[in-house]
Amino acid sequence: MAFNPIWTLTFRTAILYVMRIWIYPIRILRTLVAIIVCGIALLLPYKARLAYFSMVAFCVHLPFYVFGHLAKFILKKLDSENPYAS
Amino acid sequence: MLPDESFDACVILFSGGTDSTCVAAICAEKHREIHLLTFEEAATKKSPLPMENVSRLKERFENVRFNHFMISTDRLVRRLAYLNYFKNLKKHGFFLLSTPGFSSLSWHLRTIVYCKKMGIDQVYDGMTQELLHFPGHMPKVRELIRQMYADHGIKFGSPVINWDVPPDQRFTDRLIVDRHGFSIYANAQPNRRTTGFYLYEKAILPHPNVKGSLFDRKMQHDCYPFVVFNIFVFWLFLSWKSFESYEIRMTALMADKILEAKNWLDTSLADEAFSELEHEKRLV
Repeated sequence: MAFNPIWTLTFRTAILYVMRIWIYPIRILRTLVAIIVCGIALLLPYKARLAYFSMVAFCVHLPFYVFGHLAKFILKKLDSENPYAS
Repeated sequence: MLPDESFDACVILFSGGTDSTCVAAICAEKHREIHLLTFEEAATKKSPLPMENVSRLKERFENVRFNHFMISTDRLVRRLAYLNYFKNLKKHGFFLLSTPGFSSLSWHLRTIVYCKKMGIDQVYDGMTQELLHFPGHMPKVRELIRQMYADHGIKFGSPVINWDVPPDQRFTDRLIVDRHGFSIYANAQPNRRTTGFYLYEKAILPHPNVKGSLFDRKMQHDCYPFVVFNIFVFWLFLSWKSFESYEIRMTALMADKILEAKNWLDTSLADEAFSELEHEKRLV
């Protein structure tokens, strides 16, 4: 199909429009999550707050741990191993 | 920059990472005795003792005397975070979650006490222009801290603050690594003036960019956990307000905390035996 600048511009505008519509709900959702996460932290005494920080950090890093274990599992299935592990 | 005169002893706030090791290497050419202070709190207790780079420095600078101490500031961080809590909560709100800032303030306070005890009047840290949303990294807060040192007759400097920083480490960088787990961008801009490159040139580190690598994690003491703090900064505050407004409010909080800490500092300095303090543990 030949390059049509009108269609390209229209498509780009449509994408930008959708992004603009979504940007505020996402921002609001993010803010609500942040208020809950940070609000809980504000209520906690020192030691409990430290444990809470560690728990939130663990949850945030969970996808990376899962990815690492998945990679290990796949490598094992392929009868291989991570040459950089040691 | 470092002054030209040669001083006898200086103190370096030392995490064991590339930047503070670079500062130690720079100071080793000016000072005959260097006191490296590493700080720990309950939140960073499990992180490795940063001794690997001290050994490298000692090997490289045989004529310099390195004293490495681990100091706990846990009680001080707790005090900074919770003193006048409800009054501060009303005034600063979610900013009270800036525990990484309280942590770095506790290091500076404790360093002042250490310097007065040892009769040292020169302090350096390995600050660079990275992570500028952290209170301890913000220029306005650092000016308050510099003033706090000056009030006690101590000169505070950051010799590598205007040096280049390596490119951001992204997740994909960590997937594509060489044998030692170093960044793939390490050789892309070899002439940049980075702390890693300086240490590489001085034959202290085996690679110009070890930041974020497995090698780096083994040699460096952890920072205070900052995930919740980052959620507050990026999801809550900076989603709606400007960075300038963030900087103003953070500086106000840290100024209040420095004022609150004055009492602790004066009491600690007046106590000749320093009995109220958590004592230093010598590592080297």
